[in-house]
Amino acid sequence: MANLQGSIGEGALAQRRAATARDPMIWAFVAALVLLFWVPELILYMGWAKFWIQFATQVFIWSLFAMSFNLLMGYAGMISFGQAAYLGIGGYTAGLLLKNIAGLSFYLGLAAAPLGGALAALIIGYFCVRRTHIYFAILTLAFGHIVYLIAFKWYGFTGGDNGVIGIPVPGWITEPTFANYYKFVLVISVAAIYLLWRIVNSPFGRALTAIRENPERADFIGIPVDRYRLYAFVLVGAFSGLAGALIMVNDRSVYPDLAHWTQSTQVLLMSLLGGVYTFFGPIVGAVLLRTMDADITQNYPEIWQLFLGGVLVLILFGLPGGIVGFIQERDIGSGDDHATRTAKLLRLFRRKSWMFLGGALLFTTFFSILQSPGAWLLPRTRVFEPFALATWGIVPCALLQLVVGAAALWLLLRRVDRFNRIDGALLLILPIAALVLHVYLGTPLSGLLIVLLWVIFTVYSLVQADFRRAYRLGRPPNGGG
Amino acid sequence: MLLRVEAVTKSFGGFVAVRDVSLSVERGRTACVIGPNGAGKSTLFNLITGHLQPTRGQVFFADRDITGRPPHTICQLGIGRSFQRTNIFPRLSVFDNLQIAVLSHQRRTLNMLTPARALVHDETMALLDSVGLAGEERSTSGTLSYGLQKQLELGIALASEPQVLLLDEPTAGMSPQETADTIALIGRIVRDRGLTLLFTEHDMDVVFGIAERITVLHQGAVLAEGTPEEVQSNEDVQRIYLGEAE
Ligand SMILES: Nc1ncnc2c1ncn2[C@@H]1O[C@H](COP(=O)(O)OP(=O)(O)O)[C@@H](O)[C@H]1O
Ligand SMILES: [Mg+2]
Repeated sequence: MANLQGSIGEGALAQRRAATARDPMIWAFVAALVLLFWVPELILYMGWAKFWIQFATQVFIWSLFAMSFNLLMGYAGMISFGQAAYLGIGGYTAGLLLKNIAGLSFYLGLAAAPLGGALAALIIGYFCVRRTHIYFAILTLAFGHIVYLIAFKWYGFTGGDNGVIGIPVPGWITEPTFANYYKFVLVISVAAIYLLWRIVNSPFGRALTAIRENPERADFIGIPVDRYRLYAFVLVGAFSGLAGALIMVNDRSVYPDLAHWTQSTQVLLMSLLGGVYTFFGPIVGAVLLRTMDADITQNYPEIWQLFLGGVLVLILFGLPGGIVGFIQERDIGSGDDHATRTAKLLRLFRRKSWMFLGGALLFTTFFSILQSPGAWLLPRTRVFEPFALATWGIVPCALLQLVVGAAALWLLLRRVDRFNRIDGALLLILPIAALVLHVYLGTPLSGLLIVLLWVIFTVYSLVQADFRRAYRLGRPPNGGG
Repeated sequence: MLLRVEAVTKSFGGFVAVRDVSLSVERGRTACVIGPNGAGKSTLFNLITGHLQPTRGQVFFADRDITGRPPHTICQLGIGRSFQRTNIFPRLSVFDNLQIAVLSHQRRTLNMLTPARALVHDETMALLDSVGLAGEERSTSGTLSYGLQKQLELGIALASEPQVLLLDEPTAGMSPQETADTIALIGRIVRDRGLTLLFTEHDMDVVFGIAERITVLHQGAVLAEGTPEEVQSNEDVQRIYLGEAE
């Protein structure tokens, strides 16, 4: 190896060293930080509800929680069902310290949360990391529930189900527009997520990936597998603790619910939804779940569960890589050149189109149920006009959409390999038509979702020459065109 | 003796898979363990590399007792191995497979902040070339042909710059051409790096072509030991093993 390094010029070596230290992604993070920093001002200026500032704050916190969780699940291959425990421990650590120690600096209290999370993860992880797969999952679940029960039952210390309330926070946080706290959380979570980014791309992150892929082989390239699993568990415990403290400050109180296992499943869902083998996937999952949660849970708790179940089943069967994973799939491909990979993606899209249709229908039906609950066969007005879709009941409307959507997909996909200009036009018009239809039906949100998915799946990819070639002409990659 | 196995026994429940086996390999030599399926060859390898704990007996590496050490320690001490069932990181690229092995060998895997992308690039590429995988660095390793996966696994084993290389059936499932290529590759690497090689193999041409000493296992016990000529002329071996196999 030494002679090899000698043969490379000093300059090239220095250059490589510099490239090693630099990470271009930092600019993406800085850009995100700068852009998002002014969102509260935008919301206030536009006169939108202040609720959205608070909502965005929660999305950031949950993104942080979900992404740190995904370091375990996606990178290290450790599926923890008890991650809420560290969220709760972080919240309680900061909350109890701030509440009980008069004059304790707010920032010190906050800084104690990741330490608390890490310490708990160290103790619990010590017993869990030796086990793998289902045993690991069950053990983390069990320990997580113990943490919840301690928070719930130990009235003397945690206040039990009364929670810890009235936690003192600095005045600037309680400022009524909530913009200050938004910015505080934004800075912390972007910084923490950037740290996570560095970790997953570091040699340590590679070691975790190797452990996920093949623990036996990882062991025999000299990586102490159990110890590295424990390190990962402790790290994630710290990030989760931080997220828990941020939630605590958000509510200025902390309840045992924070550590409840349902929170653990939320974060699991976010990762699955967005894509387990992607870094940014969990953000998408967090945004989606928090949006649905904010919109729907309060008013329609039963439907919410049903809907969530439906989405999950669709994702697991249709897009096992999650949403972001699906988009990236072509990049994970083999040594194929780009055109071949794109053609493969198309074929994949054709295979998955039923799931796409199912998802769209689910959204539509769901939103129409929300809009006029109970109007299964007839509109609530009981006046049915065949040519006014808005007067159709939910079931006939869904059936109609199923037929139209299936026909459209069939038209589009019947000859993926030999596509003509009319098909191309259809491809562009269809999502717009869908949007118009849905606005007309009074379910604009689902129309938007359809368009969004459509844009991601196709139009976004059409920009690329290779894709266009594969889709329109379908010649073999060396066939030119 | 660089590697010495002393009277190791391994039983699974009541079943004795390896019975009182002793074996030693001198530095720089090539030794082979043969025996019919189920003779205990893989089990013996697992006992040496710490994947299994011997019921009795000891393993020495460079006069150091390594019995019962965990696999990662044994790897760090200087024993590299391949597995009978190909054992790579299937969803990682070829480059990443080798890079993580090099990083681990250089004890850099606790680094949590430096981007790994550009680290040990040259070492990894040199290793990639030396096992004949030049040009495949971006392929997903699990999609490679069987022969190339075996080559990759060899590269992973070499990344830790071992003194002893243990190869468990390196040509199993290969076509005659692939077998010849693989053996040539292994021979070249062993010569260039001055490695000590211990391998198991079912192809007798290969065994008698490159092994300097052969140990024959039968039902977990050593049936014969010696130079290829000695083993070939051993009556027990001819009766029990060579006769059946050919
Ligand atoms: N973990 C195990 N538990 C029980 N029996 C085992 C185990 N590993 C190997 N064996 C048994 O030990 C014997 C030797 O196996 P192995 O070492 O794989 O043979 P070889 O590699 O020579 O074909 C076989 O009969 C096998 O079934
Ligand atoms: Mg075997």
